[in-house]
Amino acid sequence: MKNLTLQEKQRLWKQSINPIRKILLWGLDSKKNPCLLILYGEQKFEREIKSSPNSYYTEAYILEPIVTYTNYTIFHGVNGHLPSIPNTYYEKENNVLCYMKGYKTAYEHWYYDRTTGYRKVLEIDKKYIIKEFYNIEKNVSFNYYEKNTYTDYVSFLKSNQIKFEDFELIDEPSVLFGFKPDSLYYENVLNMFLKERLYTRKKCLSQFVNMQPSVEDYKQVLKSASIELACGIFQELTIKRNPILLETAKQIDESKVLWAKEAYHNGLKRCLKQYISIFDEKLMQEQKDFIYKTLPEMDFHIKRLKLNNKVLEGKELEEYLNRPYAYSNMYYIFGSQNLYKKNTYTDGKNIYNIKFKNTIQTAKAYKMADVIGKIAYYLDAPRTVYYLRGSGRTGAYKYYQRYLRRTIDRYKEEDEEKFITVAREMLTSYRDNDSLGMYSYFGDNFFFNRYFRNVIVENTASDELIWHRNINDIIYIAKNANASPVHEFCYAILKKANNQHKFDSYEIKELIDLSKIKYDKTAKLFIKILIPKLKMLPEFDTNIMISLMGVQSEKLQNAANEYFKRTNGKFSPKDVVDFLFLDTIETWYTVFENNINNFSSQEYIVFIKSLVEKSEDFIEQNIEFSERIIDLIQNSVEKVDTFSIKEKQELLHYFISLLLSIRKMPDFLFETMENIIFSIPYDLLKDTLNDIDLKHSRITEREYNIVSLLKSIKENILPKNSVILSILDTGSARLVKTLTKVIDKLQDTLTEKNTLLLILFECSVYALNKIAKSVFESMEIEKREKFHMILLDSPIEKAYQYGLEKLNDWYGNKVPKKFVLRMLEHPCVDVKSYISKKLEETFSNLNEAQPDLYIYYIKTLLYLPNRVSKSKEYIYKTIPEFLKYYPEKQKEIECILLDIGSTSIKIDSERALVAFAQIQKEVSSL
Amino acid sequence: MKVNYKYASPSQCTQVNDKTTLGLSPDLSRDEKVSFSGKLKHPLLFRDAMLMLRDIVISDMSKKTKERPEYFAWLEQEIERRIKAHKEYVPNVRETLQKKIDVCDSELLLKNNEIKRLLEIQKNLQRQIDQYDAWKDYYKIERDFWKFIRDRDYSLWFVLDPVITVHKDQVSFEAFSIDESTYGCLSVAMDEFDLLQTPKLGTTNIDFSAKLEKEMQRFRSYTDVTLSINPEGFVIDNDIVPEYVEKKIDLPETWIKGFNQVSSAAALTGIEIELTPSDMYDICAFLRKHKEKKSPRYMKWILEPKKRVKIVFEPFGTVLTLNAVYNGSQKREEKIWGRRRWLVVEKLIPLSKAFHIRFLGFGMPQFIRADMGTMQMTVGFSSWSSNDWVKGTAFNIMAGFTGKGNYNDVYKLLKKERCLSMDEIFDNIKDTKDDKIKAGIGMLFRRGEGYFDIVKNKVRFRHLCNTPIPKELYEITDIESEVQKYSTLTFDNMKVKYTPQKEFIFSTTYNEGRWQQSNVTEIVIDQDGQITKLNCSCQKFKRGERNISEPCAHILALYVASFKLLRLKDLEYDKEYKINDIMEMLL
Repeated sequence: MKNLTLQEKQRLWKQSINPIRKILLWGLDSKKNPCLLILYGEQKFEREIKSSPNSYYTEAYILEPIVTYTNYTIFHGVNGHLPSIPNTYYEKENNVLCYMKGYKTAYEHWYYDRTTGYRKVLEIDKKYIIKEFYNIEKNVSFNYYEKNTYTDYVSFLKSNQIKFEDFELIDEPSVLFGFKPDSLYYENVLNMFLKERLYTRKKCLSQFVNMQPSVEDYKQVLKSASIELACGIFQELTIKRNPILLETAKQIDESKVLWAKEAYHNGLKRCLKQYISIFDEKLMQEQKDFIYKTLPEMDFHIKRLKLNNKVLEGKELEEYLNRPYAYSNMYYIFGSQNLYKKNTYTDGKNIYNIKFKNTIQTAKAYKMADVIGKIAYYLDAPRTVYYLRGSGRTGAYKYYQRYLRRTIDRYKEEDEEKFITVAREMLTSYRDNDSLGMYSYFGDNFFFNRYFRNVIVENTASDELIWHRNINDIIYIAKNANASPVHEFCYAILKKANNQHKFDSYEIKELIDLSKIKYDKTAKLFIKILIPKLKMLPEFDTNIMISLMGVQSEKLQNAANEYFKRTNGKFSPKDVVDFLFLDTIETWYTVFENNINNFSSQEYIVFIKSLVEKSEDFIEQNIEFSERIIDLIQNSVEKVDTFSIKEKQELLHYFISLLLSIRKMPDFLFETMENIIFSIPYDLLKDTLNDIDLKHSRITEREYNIVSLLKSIKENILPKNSVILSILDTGSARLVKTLTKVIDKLQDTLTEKNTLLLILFECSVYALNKIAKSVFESMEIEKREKFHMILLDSPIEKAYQYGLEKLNDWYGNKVPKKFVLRMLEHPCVDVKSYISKKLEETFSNLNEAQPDLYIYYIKTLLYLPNRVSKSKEYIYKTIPEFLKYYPEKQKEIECILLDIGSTSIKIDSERALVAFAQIQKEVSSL
Repeated sequence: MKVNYKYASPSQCTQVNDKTTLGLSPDLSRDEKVSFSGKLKHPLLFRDAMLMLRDIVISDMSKKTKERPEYFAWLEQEIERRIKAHKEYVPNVRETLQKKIDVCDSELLLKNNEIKRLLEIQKNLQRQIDQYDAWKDYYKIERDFWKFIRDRDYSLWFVLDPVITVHKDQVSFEAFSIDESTYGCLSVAMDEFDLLQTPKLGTTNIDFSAKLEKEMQRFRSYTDVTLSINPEGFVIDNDIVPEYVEKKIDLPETWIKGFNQVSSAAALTGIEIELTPSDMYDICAFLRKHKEKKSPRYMKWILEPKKRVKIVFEPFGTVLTLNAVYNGSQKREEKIWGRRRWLVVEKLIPLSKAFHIRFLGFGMPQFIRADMGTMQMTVGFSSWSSNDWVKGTAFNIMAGFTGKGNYNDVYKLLKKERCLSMDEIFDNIKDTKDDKIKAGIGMLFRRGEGYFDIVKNKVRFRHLCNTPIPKELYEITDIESEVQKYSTLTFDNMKVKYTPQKEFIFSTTYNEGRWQQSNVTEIVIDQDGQITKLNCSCQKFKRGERNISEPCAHILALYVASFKLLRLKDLEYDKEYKINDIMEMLL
C-alpha cells in the first residue's frame, strides 16, 4: 500500500463489499409537487491490494473512478413541500431498495450453493421495501472523484434524454428555493436540502441560522422545506430563544395543510408547540410542571414478571431483580409481557417513544438541566437499557443516548452550572443495584462512565478542576448518594480537596453532619478533621453533644463521651426528651438512664411534661422503642413516691386534664400516665379528686376505664361491671392493682352484686378471687345458695371446681336437689360426672327432675366414648327410679339402652342391657 | 390471599336476668348487610353444636411441616446475634488461652510433674470458652420453637372466622379446620327460631373469639337465648367512642381452595349409609382406645349388600361390626385414611338421632351428617390430608369440575333465587346442555360463591370471602389440563406389580404421537395410599426436583388412574400384571 499514488490512495477501499453511490436531485411530478430523485450506482473494484503477491488475503481494493448509476427512486412531496431525505439501503443481490430500518431488522440466513458456496440471504420485511424503484435504461456514468455540480448532473441527464417515472428534473435549484445563485445563503440552503448525511445537513442549518436571515428568508426556505428541515429550524430557534418566526409558527400550527403524512406532520407540530410555548410563560410553566409531574414515570420499574410460569410480584420480584445480571438474563422477555404499570410513557408493555422523545427535546429546549440529569440516569439504569435493546429499540436507545450526550457535553463546555445540576441529579439517583460496578456487554451506565468513572479508575480527581470549583455540590452528592461507585467518586474529590485544606474553615456542626455520610471512607475523612476541633472545645454545648450522639461511628461516640466527661456535661430534661428521637438511643442508654435517675422532682415533672408535648411527634414519626427504654421510662415512675404532696397533686391535675382532653399519645406514654396517676397513694388520690371535675365527652375505652376508676375512688362506689371486665382484660398491672384496692374497700357491697361476684371468681387475679371467696363464704345462707348455683353454672374450671368443693364441704353426701337439677345441663364433663355420684343419694325420688333434661343429661354421659365409666355405673342405677315417676319416658329410655346395648364395648353393653332387664322386671312387677 | 375484615364492635354475649343475647358482629366490608334476630327454641342443642364447630376449626391432625417464616427469621437473627457475640468474646479468650497454653507447654518440658495441674488449667479455660458458644442454648431455642408453634396455631383460631349465611329457610354456620382437612356446616332451620325481626339474607364472617365461646357455654334451658346478627355492632356504654375491630388476615391459598373443594364435593353422588348413635359410639370408642403407631393406618369399610357393615381397623386387624345395614346392590370396600378426624363428631353422639355417612370414592372427601332434628351438622373430611400437591388436581379432574361452563347464568340465577336444586337450575336455564350448566355450577363452587347443601340436596348461594378470590385459586391450571389429556392414555400400557413389602408398583408408557418421544412413568404406592417412590423419563420431571414436590402431569395421571386398582387382591408377589390381566381380575 506504500507504493500507491495520491490518486490511488483516494480510491482505496478496505471493505470487501462494493460501495453504493447516490446522487440526489430535485424535480416536479405531474401534480407539480416537488420530488426527490435518488440515483444508485455500484462502484466497482479496479484491482486488489495484497501485502505480498503470494498472500491469500486481500488487504484492500482500488475502486474504479467511474460509477455507473443503474437504478433510481423517487420520493414525492406533499402540498408543495419536499419529502424528508430518507435513509435507504440498496440490496444489490436482489436489486431491491428498502429503508435502512428494513435492512437492520431483516432476517439473515446463509444459503449454500454448490457453485458459489455459502451466500448470505436477507429477508426484508415487505413494509420496508420501496416500490418505486426503477432501472435506468441508458448508461449514466460519472466520475465519483470529480466535483460535479447539480447543473452538471441535470444537463447530462437531459442531454442524454433520460426519462424518469412521473418526474421532471428542475434545471436550477433556485427555481425551487427562491434563492439566486449569487445570494448569500444559496450555498448553505442548497446543502441543507441536498447533503446526504444528516449531520452535514444539520451543520449547514446551524450556519444558516447563525447568519441571522430575515423572516422573509426563513419563509422562503419553509415554502418548500421538508418536515425534517422545518423541525430542525424550529428546534434551533427554540434553543436560541429567537422569536423571529413566532407568528409564522402559529400560522403553520393553526393551518390544516399537511406537509407530509399525518404522523410526520405531528412531529412538526410538536416542534412548533415547543417553539411557541417558550415565549409564553404560562404555557411553558404548564409544560414544565407536566414534565416534573410525569418524570418519575419515565423510570420503567418492572411491577410484574412472569418467569417459568410463575408470576413474581412485590418483594419476591424485587429480590429477583436485585440479583446481578437479572435484567440481562431476562433480555428476551422485554416487549412481550406487561411488565409495567400503565402511565404517560408506557402502555404497560412498551414505551411510547414519541412521548419519551418529546419530553427529552422539551427539557433540552427549556434548559431543564435537572430533568436532563434524571433522564440520563434513567437511560443508564439496566432496566431501561435492557428494555430498549431487548425489545428491538436499540435505534431509539442510541438516539436518546446521543441526544443527551450532546446536550450534556454542550453544558460542560458552555454552562458549568447546568452541568453540575445534571451531575447532582444523576449521581444522587444511582442505586447499588444499578450495576454501576459491573461489566456489561450492552454498555449500560454509559453516562456514568463518560463523565465520572475516570475520577475513580484513572485517579484524575486533581485534574478535573470543575469538581473542585463546585465542592459544595460534591458534598451534597456525597450526603445523598446511594451507590458505592458514586461515593467512591465523591471521596476521591473530597480527599484531594482536603489535601488543599478546603475544609479547615468548616464549623463543628457542619463537620458532624458530614461525618454521618453513609460511606465509611468519606465519613472517616471528616471525623479525622472533626476530632481535633472537638478536643479544642473548652465548654459543653448541648446542641453539639446531641448532634454527636446521632452519629453511628464508634470513634466519634467515644470522642463524644470524652467531650461529655471533660466538660462536665449535663442535659436539661427537655434535651433528654430529644434523645428519644435519636437513632442511636440504644448506644446512649446509660447516659439516658443516668440523666433520668439524677433528675430532681421538678426536673422529672418537666421531663414528663416534655414527653407529653412531643407525643404527636412520636406518633407522626412512628417511633418505636426497645423494651428496655420503655421499661426505663415506666420504672422511672417510682420517683413519684419521693415527691412532696404538692408535687404529686400537680402531676395528678396535669394528667387528669390531659386524660379528659381528646389527645392522642403513644402507648408507652399512656401507660406511663396511667402508672403515675395510680402510683399516688389511695387516700391522697381520693382527697385530690374531690376538687377535680371528671366530666368528659366521648372518649376511648382505655381512657374511660381510668376515668371510671377515678370516679369510683372519688365517689366511693364500685365501677360498672363492663368497666371491671375491660380493666381485667386489657388494663395494666397498676390499674388492676388499684381496682383490687377499690373492690377490697367496698367488699361489703358485693353481697348484692352476684354478677360482679362471679366476674371476680372467674378472673385470673388471685387477690380478687380471694375477696370473692371471703364475700361468698360470709353471705347469708339464702343468698349464698342462690349465688352458689350461679357459681356452679360457670364454664371456668376454677370457679365451678370451687363451687363443687364447697358443695362437698357444706352438704357432704346430701347435696340439695336444686343444685343437682341445675348442674344437669352443665357443658363440662367434670360437673356432670360429679353429680352422677350424688343423684342416688340426693334424690330419694326423681319426681322433681325435668324428664327431658334428665334424658339429655344421661345421654351426654352414657354416649361419651371410653370415659367416665364409674359415673355411667351410677347413672344406670338411677334409671329405674326415674321411670317410676315418668313411665311415659320408658320407650325413649329403652331405645337408648338397647342402642348402647348393641355396641361392641362389652362393659357398656352389659350395663345397658342389665338396666334394660331391670326396667322390664320392675315395670312388669308394677 | 390477603383479606381485611371490619367489625363494628367485637361479638359479645350479654346476660340480663334470664335473657341471654348472643350478639354476632358481621363483617362490614361485605356488600350484603346481613341482619338477623331470633330466639332459640333449643339453646342446649345449639350450644353443643356450636362448640363442636369450634372443635372443627381448631382440629389439626396434620404433620407440622408448614413453613414458619417468622420463626426462621427470628432464628436467623438469633444465630447472627450469637455468632456476633461469639466472635466478639472468643478471640480474646482464645488469645489468652493460647498464651497460657504456650507457657504450659514450655513448663511441661521443664517440669514433668506439673503436667497434670496445667492440663487442669487448660480444661477450666476451655469451659470458659464454652460459655460463649453460640450453640450452648440449642435446646432452649428448640423449646422456644415448639412454644412458638403452639402459640401460633392457637392464634389461628382467632384468625379463621367462621362464615354465617342467613338463608330463607335456615341459618348456616360454616367452618374449615386449620389443617385444611375438616369442613363443618351447622344448619339451623328457621323453625328453631322465634323470629324477632325480618332477616336480611346474605353471608358474612363473624368475629367469633375464644372469649365468646366461653360465654356460649353459659347457655341453659331456663334462659331465653337470642341469636342476633347486627351490622351496627354491640356497644354497651354511650360514653365510649366505638372503635372498629379490624383484622388483616393472610388466608392460606390452600385453605381457601380446600374449603371450596370440600364444601362443593357434597354435590357429587356416592354411597350413603345410615348409622345409629351407638355405631358412631363404637367407632369413636375404638379410636379412643387404640392409637396406631405404624402403617397402615386406614379403616376399611366392608359393604356387602343387605349385610351389617364391617370395619377393619388396621394395623390391628380388628373387625368392628356395626348395627347399620348396607342397602347397596354391589359389594364394596372403602379405605378411609385420617380416621382420627372422626373423633370430632363424638360430642354429637348424644344429640343426634342418626348419622348419615357418604363416601364419594377413593381419593375423594367423605361426609358425616348428624341429624339433630331442627339442626343438622355436616362434617366433611378431605381425603388427601398429606398430599397437598395432588389435592387440587385430583379433585377437579375426578369431580369433573373442568371448564367454566355457563357460570355467568348460574351466578345470576342463584343470586336471585338463593337456593335451588340441580334440577331446578337445569329447568331455569333453558337451551343449554346440562354438562355446561354443571360445569358452571362447578365454577361457582370453585370461586367460593356457593356450596352444596347435603341435607336438602340443593345448591346454596354464599360468598366465602368479602372480595373476589384470585384467579389462580379457581382456574383450571395447565397441569390439570395435561393430566386430563394423559388420563386417556394411562391404561394403554399400564403394568402393576405387588411386592412382598405390600407395595404396589404402577408403571406405564405414554405414547403421545409419532413425532413425540414416549415417556416411561413409574410410581410406588404403599398401604396408606401414599407415593413412596416415583420416576418419569419426561424432560419436565428431570429438570425439576425429581421428587414428590414437583410431579409432572404423567405422574399425576398415573396416580389418579392407579387408585382405582388399589383394591386389587390376591396378587402374586413380584409378578408383573398387564392391563388385560387386571381387567379380567376386576371383571
